[in-house]
Amino acid sequence: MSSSVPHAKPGGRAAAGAARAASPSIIVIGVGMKMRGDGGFGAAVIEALRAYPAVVDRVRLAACDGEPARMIDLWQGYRCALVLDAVRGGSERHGFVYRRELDPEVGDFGAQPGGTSHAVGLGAAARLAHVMDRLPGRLILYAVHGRDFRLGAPLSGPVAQAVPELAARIGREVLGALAAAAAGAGKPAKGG
Amino acid sequence: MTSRQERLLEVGSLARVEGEGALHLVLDRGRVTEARLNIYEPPRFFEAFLRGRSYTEVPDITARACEMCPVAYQLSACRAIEDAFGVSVGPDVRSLRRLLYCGEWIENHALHIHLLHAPDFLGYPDATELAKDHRAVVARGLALKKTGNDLVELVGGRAIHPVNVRVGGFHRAPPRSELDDFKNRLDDALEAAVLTVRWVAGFEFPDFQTPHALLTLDDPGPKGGARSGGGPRYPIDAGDGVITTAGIGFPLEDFEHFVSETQVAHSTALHARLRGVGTYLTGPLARYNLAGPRLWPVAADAARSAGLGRVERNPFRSVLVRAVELVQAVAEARAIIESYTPPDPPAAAIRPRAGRGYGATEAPRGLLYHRYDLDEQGVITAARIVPPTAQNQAAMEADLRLVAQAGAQLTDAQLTARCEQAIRNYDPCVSCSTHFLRLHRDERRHRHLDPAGS
Repeated sequence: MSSSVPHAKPGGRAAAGAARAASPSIIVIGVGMKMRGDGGFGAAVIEALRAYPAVVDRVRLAACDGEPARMIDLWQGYRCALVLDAVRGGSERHGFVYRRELDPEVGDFGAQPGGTSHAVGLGAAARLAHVMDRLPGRLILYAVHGRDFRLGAPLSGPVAQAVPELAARIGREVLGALAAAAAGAGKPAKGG
Repeated sequence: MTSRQERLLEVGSLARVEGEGALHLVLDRGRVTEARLNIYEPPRFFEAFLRGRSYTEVPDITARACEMCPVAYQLSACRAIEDAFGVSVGPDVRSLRRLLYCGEWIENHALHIHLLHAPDFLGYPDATELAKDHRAVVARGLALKKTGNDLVELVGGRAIHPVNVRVGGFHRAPPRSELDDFKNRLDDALEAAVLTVRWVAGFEFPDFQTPHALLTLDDPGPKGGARSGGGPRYPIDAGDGVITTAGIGFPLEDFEHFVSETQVAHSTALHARLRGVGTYLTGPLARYNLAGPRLWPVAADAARSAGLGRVERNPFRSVLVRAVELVQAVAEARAIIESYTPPDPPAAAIRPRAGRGYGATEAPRGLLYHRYDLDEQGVITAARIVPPTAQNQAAMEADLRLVAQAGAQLTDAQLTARCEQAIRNYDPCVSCSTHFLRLHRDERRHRHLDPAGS
């Protein structure tokens, strides 16, 4: 996925030359909930992305609790799915954002930076979807290393700081991908 | 001399936000003397968080107490607040609420049966491995789950944390045309649910009888004649009293008199006991034993065909009862849509007044009780939420002792798997993690010292 489209910014209409798909080919899924500290990271990034009209017009934004069947249902049929979640455990790199892309042959993310903060985790959902042939064309995980997952806690400082940074990065990434897809003649907008 | 050896059998990667399950078993010369299940549950936070909030905020806040059953939290809360305000909702609102609740039952039960519990019975480590050999079955589970999800989204406005629920009814009543489109899907779902009962009936169930009392909500049904489907109903979204197998029943307002909760050192979840009785269980097994005759014929027939008797006390067969309840929920949803009249207005008028109200519904995993105190402006001054997992926890621990005792000779891995399977019988919130259990086996070996001290 290219990161070469510089026009993705809040309030701006980006990628003017890109073909607008009849239905989105990319879905961004924010896993988590605001009232659970850094577990609300995914939902917060989705909210931040809503400030990018160019993204809102071309990409489906969804919130999810991380339950595998619901995740599979959401991403099935999309050319690309980006999943945003929080992880904990391991190192002390709070606020650091990991990016992992699923190996489509293996159907597994391999070693994850830590347990995700929801349900059985993205890994289990991906493995089940792989067996059931319900993976999207590409599945990419963005996971922030969270610090505070207590109920009622706000996003911790480092994680809150990562929200706008990741929203901007995703904006660039998806709009770049759409522009690249539009440049490649006749590629289907949607399909596994 | 007593030597003490503690072994960590498995540390799962679970970091589920609802909590993490840990089971501590103490064995003394091969005998299980203690089973402590540690489950964190969040409602205590919500009880405090709700204080000072307007009644209008409660449905949206409580929906976030549980990601698996937000509708249960919303409707228990609405019923309690309406009770405090003296509001009675009309039959069309009641029907739409039951439809929404059926959606939650369908998605929860479909998930639990196919993806969480079936692997235990069929010898697979998880749903992915199950799917490799039983792809069509897992596909059926996912399809049923999606039907439930979509029904919740259609009526509730959103699949997770529905936004269309308000005290008094709904913000918007879906028009008939939107629900009519769902009939065919529910016809397919009913067929799939009946097949699910037959499939689950073929599982091999460990022989076990739970000794605990069973407790469920009593739904006498709406008053108002044939259109409202008068008569006692299988407890789902409503009920004004509680019935038990211990021979006692009580109105909802006496719940806290009959059910006492105590703090235990090893868990942040309170342990519930039925006054004068002791431990008890709520959930599918309780509903079936106490309200089985209220199942609709299609569900009752499925239960009979599956070999369920009038009385069923084996918690391992609760997965079979869930399958029967899946049939019931799908059949009821189909019938509600068939006779659906959009409530007009979509919500009853609300006039706040100071007072106390009680509400309860049957979440997929058991009775969920709410009580609120409100001032004359409708601001919450006190809240009490008693979730099903907390009610079941003491009985679960007692059952786990027996299950672990029967399996004390098993290897660590086998015993962990058996205990996970047993805990999933009660479908606690943590159980949606495939491997959620951190099992500690504390072995105390006694050795007699040589009198000579050599």
